[in-house]
Amino acid sequence: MLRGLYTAASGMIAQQRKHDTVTNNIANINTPGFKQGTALTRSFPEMLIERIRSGGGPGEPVNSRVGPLTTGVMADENIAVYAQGDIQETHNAYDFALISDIQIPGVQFDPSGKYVGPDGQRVVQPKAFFTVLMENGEQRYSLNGKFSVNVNGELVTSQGNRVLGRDGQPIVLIDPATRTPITNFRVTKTGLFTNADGQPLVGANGQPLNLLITRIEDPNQLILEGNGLYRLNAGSENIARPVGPNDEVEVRQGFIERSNVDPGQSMVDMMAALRAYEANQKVIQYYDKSMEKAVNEIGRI
Amino acid sequence: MNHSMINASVSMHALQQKIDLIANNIANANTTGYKRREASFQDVLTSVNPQPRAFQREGRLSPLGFNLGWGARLVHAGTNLSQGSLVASDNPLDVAIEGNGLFEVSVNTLDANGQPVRRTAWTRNGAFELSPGPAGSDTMYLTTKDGHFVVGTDNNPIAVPENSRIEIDENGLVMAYSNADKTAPPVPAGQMKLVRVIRPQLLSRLGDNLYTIPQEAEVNREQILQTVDQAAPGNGDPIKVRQRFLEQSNVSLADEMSELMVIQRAFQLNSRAITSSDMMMNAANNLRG
Repeated sequence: MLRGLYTAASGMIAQQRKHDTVTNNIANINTPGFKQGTALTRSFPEMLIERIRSGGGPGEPVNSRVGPLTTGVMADENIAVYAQGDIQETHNAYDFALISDIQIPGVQFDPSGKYVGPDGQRVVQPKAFFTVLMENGEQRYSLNGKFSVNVNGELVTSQGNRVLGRDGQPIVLIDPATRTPITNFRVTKTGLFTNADGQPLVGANGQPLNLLITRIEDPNQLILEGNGLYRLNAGSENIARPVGPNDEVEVRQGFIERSNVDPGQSMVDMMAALRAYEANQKVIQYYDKSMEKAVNEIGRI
Repeated sequence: MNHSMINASVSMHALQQKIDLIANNIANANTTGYKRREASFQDVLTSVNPQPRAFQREGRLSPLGFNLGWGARLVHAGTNLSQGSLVASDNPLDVAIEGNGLFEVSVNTLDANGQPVRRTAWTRNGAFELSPGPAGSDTMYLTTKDGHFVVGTDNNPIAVPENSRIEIDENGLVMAYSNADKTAPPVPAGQMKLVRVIRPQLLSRLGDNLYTIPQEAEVNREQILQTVDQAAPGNGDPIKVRQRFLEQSNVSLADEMSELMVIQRAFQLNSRAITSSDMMMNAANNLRG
């Protein structure tokens, strides 16, 4: 079979994947805390092409090498861009936004959150996340700060999953002494809950109520599960730890972080994927015509 | 249907719901006591296409598996209970609440067997009227414009003697001054039962400007809507009743219009994505012939 036919077909599939990723970005242009995704393509592993011995005289090698060839392209991974989204004020005391710009000493990150050292080593900027507890006891990470309260007074996400505090327990907005609901609260920049006068609020176990903000060293290791939740694969938990007092992370109450999707870039990417898809389609059509000649016209009487 | 088209059409459905919500807010911009509804978006569950071990090549940044999203959906349709502005009125039966409270009313509904049963609801709409009691009695009852009884602190409807003038003080105490005998002292007709909203997230809307608590949360009613005891105000912000005022809706047309514009442009972008994926499917269909 003609080798290029399969190459063009793989090109169409890869462009379809790119188009799907861009469409998902556009769909989530108003989702709080959403991070734009980019599909990265990679060409298939190289093969070495040889010419089988043909018409050579004595002394020539049996098979001579022609050169390397890659036989296609594939959509390899979907990387999220963790740039900070715009902060929008909502005046709702249960809405939170995270402003995260964690610095590492000696490293100057570029706007896309990456640093390449003089010896070629690559450092990714760590990012801060809210921590959420699932029904099965596992932890997930989220950037969508639109929280609410459930029947038991626990701070929950819009799915109903409880938000964790620094002491590892879900945050319960009920005064342990009087068993009355806490309604008038403020949250400081470090995530500490205080009452209207600035006194820290205390949970049932005597610890101050404080949002657990987790710092992930390499956010590319996170897998987006959907519903605004990220998870870490088993074995990668060592890259997550609670945020320290010196990390440049700020919690803002009454604000949400809008999605960081750029509509102009998304439209351009979508058009590029579409036209590349059509170009690959044309290549397949030309191979089809070549094969038609081979099948129907060669050997015609 | 290919992935992009499913993605974009799911998201357009969510955007349509948001537009409906904004339109409802704008339509009720002049309804007494209306509180605006808010909703936000969330991304739908993703699917992770597994990739074989051989895909773990040098330069790869993320774990194995290609992550595909499926669009966005609308969640979190809550009520914003911020105070609306008060407008003066001549009607002595127009009342407004200043503060984070609700009036309690008693609504006639049918239960599962079709039997009439009384159910408690709450409202912010203070445009009340006096409805006549059963034939033969000379008491009038304080009701909403739909005929639902306003409940007093003794959990009974507020009964007012016929032919009297109503005065309501800022704690909700209703005094009836007789019109027939101008010198007679006023008769206390009852005190309006007010509740303080503790957990606005757990209120659900019945329609007709009424709020209720879902069945499963009824157990915790005092934790969601706390009965206001005017004698012992407690440590919350004060809740006051203002007679001869009506509370306007808290919808800000400027905010609604700018949000509508943002949603409309997102709708347009998603329809472009559908057109683009349609052209891709067209290209695939015309591969041969």
